Amino acid sequence: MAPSSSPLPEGELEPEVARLYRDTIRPLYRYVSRRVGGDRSLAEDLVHETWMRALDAWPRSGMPDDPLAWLMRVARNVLVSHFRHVQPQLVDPATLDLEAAGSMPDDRDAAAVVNWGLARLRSKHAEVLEAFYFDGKGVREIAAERAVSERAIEGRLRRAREKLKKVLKKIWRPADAQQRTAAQETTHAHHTRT
Amino acid sequence: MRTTHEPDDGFVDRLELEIGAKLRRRRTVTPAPFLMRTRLRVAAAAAMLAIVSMAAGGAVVAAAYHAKDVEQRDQLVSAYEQRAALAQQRLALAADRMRLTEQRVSVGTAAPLDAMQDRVRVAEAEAELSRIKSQLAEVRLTGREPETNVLAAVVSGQDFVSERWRLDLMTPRLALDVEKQRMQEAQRRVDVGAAPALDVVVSRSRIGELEAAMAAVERKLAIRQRFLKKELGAAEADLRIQEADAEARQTALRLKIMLAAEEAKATQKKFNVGLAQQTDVAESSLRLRELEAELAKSDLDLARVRAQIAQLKGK
Repeated sequence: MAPSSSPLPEGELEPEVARLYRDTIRPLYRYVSRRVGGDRSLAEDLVHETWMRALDAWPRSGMPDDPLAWLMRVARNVLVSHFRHVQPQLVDPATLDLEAAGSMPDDRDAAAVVNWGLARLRSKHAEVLEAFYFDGKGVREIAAERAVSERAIEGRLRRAREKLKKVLKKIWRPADAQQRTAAQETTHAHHTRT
Repeated sequence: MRTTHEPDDGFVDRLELEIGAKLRRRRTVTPAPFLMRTRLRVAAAAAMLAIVSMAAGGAVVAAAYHAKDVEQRDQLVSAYEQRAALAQQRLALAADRMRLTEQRVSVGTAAPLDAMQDRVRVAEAEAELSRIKSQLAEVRLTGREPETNVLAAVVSGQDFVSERWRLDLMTPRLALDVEKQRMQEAQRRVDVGAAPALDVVVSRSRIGELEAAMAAVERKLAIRQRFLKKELGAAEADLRIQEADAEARQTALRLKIMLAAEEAKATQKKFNVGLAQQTDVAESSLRLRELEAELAKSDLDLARVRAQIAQLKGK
């Protein structure tokens, strides 16, 4: 994640950063906004914090080869750090569909709950779930990006989803949890959508 | 059509301005040896402050979204109190730095303009402290994150939104005086052949940007007053603010285009005498075209807002 090229001379830094800013601000904002359910105020705070970190790192260590990828990676860390420190509201599990790709609604509360859970998973699980839920990517696309088989991604998604459910159980409303346990006894498991 | 995941243009512009300002602040003068130890202490204190600021910033973000009951409101208040304490320290550091520069000016190792630039930094720090105090007062009254919207209600007779917009005018006024002096100095150097003519264009462009930013804030204040007096409806007030922001953006872009055109010309001249590469010429020309494309988009945004205003008035 460290910037890779050598630091730019002071005179060249400002126009280069300005150009990069204009090129990356919109995709970066979209990346963050999708992950916070369109919560504009939170998305702006997180994007702001990401850019402040870039301004600390780039003049010292040089520009990264792929600035947008760098910014997204830092934005993800900022987001995880934020959701590690917040206290989520109790949630009705029926309002969360953890099976469908790209199904995360533009609902800041639902996004906050999922993010709270993702911030407590190992990054290899969290990242595959993020790609599936927030970026709407299918198993094939995720597998191709990571150069592993689709079967491996299916397995990783299944395990990640189970871990996420386990984490989210801590914040299920008690009545919902009881109803869900009863319902689970009478229904079959969902199929994984690819 | 705009989706909910597109950034607000106002946010994009504000952050761009902040990034530019932060980069410009990096350009500091190398201190004289006899001032080194004091400067190092100041730098160490600033580094500590930056670390604590990040922690406090995190605390503010964490607190802002969960101030739903009294305990959480207290958390938000505490976070803003922490920010105010840090802003106070930042102000003290800026004042220290200014005193050091004034000493250097008195012994002839720094230019008077450096001292003026430091006075702008002190003014920035003062404005930031006043802004945080205003936010803290609002948080204490409402228990919520401070408002920034033109449509925000007056809280217990206090118009916090206007109060903070007025603070936004403080620093540019002083910066404008500095920039005007800088332009005079640049003109003097250009006249004696000690600096390129582009230096004057850069200064003129900065002056124009500062004046446009101040005019936009003054206009927003007037819109806010008309909204509070019920001379403007909520929808129109909101659109008028968008119009003011779009016009300010347009002015800033025109100035940037003027500057980029001059830079492109200067690069072409250098290329003609073998002092620049073909890629430098291509880059400066590309930068100009990018800005022109941005201006075209900005014109379109402004036209859209004005069409919405016309539609609203036609109803």
